Amino acid sequence: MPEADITQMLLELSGGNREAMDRLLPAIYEQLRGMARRELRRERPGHTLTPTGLVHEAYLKLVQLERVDWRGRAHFFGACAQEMRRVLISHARKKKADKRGGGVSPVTLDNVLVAAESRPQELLALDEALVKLEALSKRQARIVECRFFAGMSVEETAAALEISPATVKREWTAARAWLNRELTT
Amino acid sequence: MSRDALTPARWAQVLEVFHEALTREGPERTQFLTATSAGDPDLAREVRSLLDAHERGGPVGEPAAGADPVLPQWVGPYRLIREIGQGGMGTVYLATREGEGFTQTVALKLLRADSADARTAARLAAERRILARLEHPGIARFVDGGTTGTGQPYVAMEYVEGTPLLEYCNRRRLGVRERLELALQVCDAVQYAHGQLVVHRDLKPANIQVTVDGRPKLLDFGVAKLLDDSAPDAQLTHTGLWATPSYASPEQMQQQPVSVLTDVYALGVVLYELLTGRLPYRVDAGSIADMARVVCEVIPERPSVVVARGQDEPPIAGFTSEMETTGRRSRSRALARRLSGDLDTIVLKALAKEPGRRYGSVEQLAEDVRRHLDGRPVLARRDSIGYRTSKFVRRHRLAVGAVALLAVSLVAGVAATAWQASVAARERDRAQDALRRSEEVTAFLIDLFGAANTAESETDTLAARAILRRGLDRVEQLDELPLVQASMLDALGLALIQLGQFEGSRELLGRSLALRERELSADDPDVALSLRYMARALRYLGEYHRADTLLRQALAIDEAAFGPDDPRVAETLAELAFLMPYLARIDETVQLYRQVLDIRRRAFGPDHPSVTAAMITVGLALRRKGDWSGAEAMLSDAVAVRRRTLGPEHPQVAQALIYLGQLLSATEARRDEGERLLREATAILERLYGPNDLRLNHGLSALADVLTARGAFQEAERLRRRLLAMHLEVLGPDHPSTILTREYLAGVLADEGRYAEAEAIRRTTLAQLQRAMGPRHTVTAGSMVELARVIAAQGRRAEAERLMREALAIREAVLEPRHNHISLTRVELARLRMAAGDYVEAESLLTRAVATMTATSEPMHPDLRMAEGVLAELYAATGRAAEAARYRTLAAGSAPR
Repeated sequence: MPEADITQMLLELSGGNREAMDRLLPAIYEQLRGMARRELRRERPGHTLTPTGLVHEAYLKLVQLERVDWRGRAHFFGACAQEMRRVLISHARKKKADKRGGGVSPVTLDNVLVAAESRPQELLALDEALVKLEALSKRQARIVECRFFAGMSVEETAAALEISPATVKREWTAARAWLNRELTT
Repeated sequence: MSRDALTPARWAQVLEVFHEALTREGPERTQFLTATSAGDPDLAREVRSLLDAHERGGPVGEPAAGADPVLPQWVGPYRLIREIGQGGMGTVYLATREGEGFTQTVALKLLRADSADARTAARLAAERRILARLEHPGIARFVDGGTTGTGQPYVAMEYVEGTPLLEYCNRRRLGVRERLELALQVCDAVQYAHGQLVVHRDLKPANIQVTVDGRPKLLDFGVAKLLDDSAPDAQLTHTGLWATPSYASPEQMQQQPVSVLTDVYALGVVLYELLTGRLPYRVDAGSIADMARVVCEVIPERPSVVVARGQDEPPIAGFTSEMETTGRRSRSRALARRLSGDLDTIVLKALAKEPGRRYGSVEQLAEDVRRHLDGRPVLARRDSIGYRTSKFVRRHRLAVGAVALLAVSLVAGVAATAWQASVAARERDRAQDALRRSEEVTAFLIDLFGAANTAESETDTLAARAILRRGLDRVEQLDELPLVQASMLDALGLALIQLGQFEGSRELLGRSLALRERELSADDPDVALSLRYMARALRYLGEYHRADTLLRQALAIDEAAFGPDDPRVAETLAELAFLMPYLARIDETVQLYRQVLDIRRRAFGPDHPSVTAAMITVGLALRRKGDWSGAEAMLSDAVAVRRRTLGPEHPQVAQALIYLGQLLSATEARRDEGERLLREATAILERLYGPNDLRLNHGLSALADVLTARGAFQEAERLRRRLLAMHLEVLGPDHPSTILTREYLAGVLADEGRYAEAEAIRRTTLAQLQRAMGPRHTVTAGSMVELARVIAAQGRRAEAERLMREALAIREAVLEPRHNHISLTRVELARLRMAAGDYVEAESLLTRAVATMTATSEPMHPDLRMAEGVLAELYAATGRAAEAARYRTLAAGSAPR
């Protein structure tokens, strides 16, 4: 997709046109997947960009940023969050098949990129738990994707999902408690 | 009920209780849970286990960097330990990263959230890549960089355990030599970075830590700028105020592009502080503008003088411990002796306000420090005469580039038109000839007197004027070589014109003329040359009739010596054509310039640069006359020929485009077209000269005019202020061209309705013009007219009228009776009288103005149509409907005459 088209769609998007987003996603995903793959192949996973960094870069590569307002950006990031989850989980699956085993001690997954690389099992367990949570509350699952897989802030998440930051905070606390209980017992 | 049996509805119910419970603690929480889940033990169990999980935590934590921007715990893979500093762009933390079998400690700079827009992030990404390349023992290593979960960019650098430079020196009571040796190590590191095309931009003692083994290390290349950053975005090529004001260079304070010379300046401040214990000036005065003024204007005292006063003496060894028994005063004096001479010179050269007058590189600065330490002669000092001379030549050349152009247009009046600028363009060619001469003469001076007088102690900022004065002293000794003396007088006289000192130039050029008349025959072309120069000085002084007489004498000599078709005759004709508008003889101007064009076409062929230059002057003369279409045809031709012969990216193409753009944009219907040409022209010049060159003045100024005309005041104001900063930098505050630039700025503000600000500026410029041009000069009067207008706009009618009458009186006294400036001033006064209800005087003023303008200019001339419009208003207000209608149609430009 030529860059100008993408920008045009993002402009429509910031005008509230969700259809534009759907047309846009394939291009975004392709970009994002390529970048995530490159990141994950790097030698020292600790020295890499964060997921948000990836999303930001994907975005910067796709559009002339100054022409799209913040809401357009938020929608974009929201869509990216789901894709990040898919990219990372598929990477973790492959990693697990390669490794057979891996770390088992419960360590905080503070950097999901690192986790996908070095602790694939835990990440896959989390993903399974998240599938269950999704059955209870889609919204909470989306929030976890934004916050955890795309590293977005409360405000960014709120804007991407079009809910209030207070709701994000509240639901995030609950979802986290649920996931942590699920993963540690 | 088991967990797996949870339904969305049940989950919602659980969460409600969970959140409620979270707001309570201890026994209160237990009590709440018991109460709410009475009869539903599963619910209680469910909520309790969630609460446990919440408190215990687990693999799913906050995303990297946490959610709380106030107190981040994690930044990327780094755990923050404590804050160790606050900088312009953000906060610096001590942070660690746990690796497999090691712990890495870093200084982590987290950039402020408000600087974390994506544009900044993208720029930082580029900077990080460069910083990663910097490997030098004197520079804290770049470790890592990235973006936090909340999108804040960060940079992790090697953590240096050390003592800030000044503290290190003072605590150890280091001597002058040891301090300089540390400074040299710092210079090495900065020079290395410059070699990698990275400028630090925020060098200061606090950013220089000395490690326990005595090596200084530079921190904080965080605001570093890439030298080869060719981004066209102005924001990126300018510094912003990221630097620390006390150590910032004048160009940084003026938001101008930085270069390696910016770091040279900062190193100068560091040296100053190392040697004197004080900053070169105090930058703590209020607003950014105040601070900028201090940095740009206050000339620092010599370090030795500061030390001799004996306040805040630094505990420098050799001047403290060894002389413990002697008094504080004598210690200070000893240190002052140590600093005076070389070190004063070195430090003040690094601290020169104009970047071009500093050391050209950190290497040169370091070399001089080394020379001083080795007892070898310092370059800054030894070359002082050559240095000052080259500085003079450099200054002079700048003046020739664009300033001559401005000074010339200044003389023609505050409401400068393209016409004046055009003639100025000719002036520039001419001035370049003059420059060649004056350079020869300067070289001659150096040869003759070069080695004689090197015992000069004030080496830093000897103004060009002082150099001229010195040149003059030497001229006096050349009595036995009167013709050499004359050409030196020419050079000095022309230089004085460029410095705006017209009286002085008249005196020198007059002496040159007298010498040639005495030594040569009356019909010698060199006499004609002197007459021409003299006429130019007189024109600047407003003595147009006398200038006219001299030029016609010169013309007669040239025609007799070379024949009427010689290009050298064309030079004199052109000078005469330039003068004619001042005598209100517009038709003659057009005719003279056509003559120049014809002579040059015959002599040089149709494509020669001097031919296209003449085409431009003819075009502008036609415009001045009001022949719009003739002017457009001529200027378009000039553009086409230059494009064809010089290529699209040439300064002369840009110049021609500017004149054409100005012409088109003066008509509202074609304003956009004109603006496009002006932008094209300035873009060419910017690519050729960089954004900050005075050669951009004409184009940018024309562009600002168009912007003002179409109401884009903000951009216009920004351009005007940028031009003003350039003028202050190169020419200083008192140069006529700087004054004119201020006037233009006031014009934008007045058009925008910011009358009080405009008035304040105009009061200053009027006072400056009264000093520079004399109180009874038409330019001074022009400034009074403009001041009167802003005063009137604020309702102070009587005051405005007094000033306007004074301006009119001056112009009536010094100009030709039919001069356009007089008519325009009459119209302005008439407006004021009409506002006061006095239609009798207003009518008499207006009818005189319209009659004069009708006789001297083309019927379509905008000034004339404007005057006719005012007259129509007057007739309407006094109930003479028929006359009002007649003048309204005349003003609209649609009536037969």
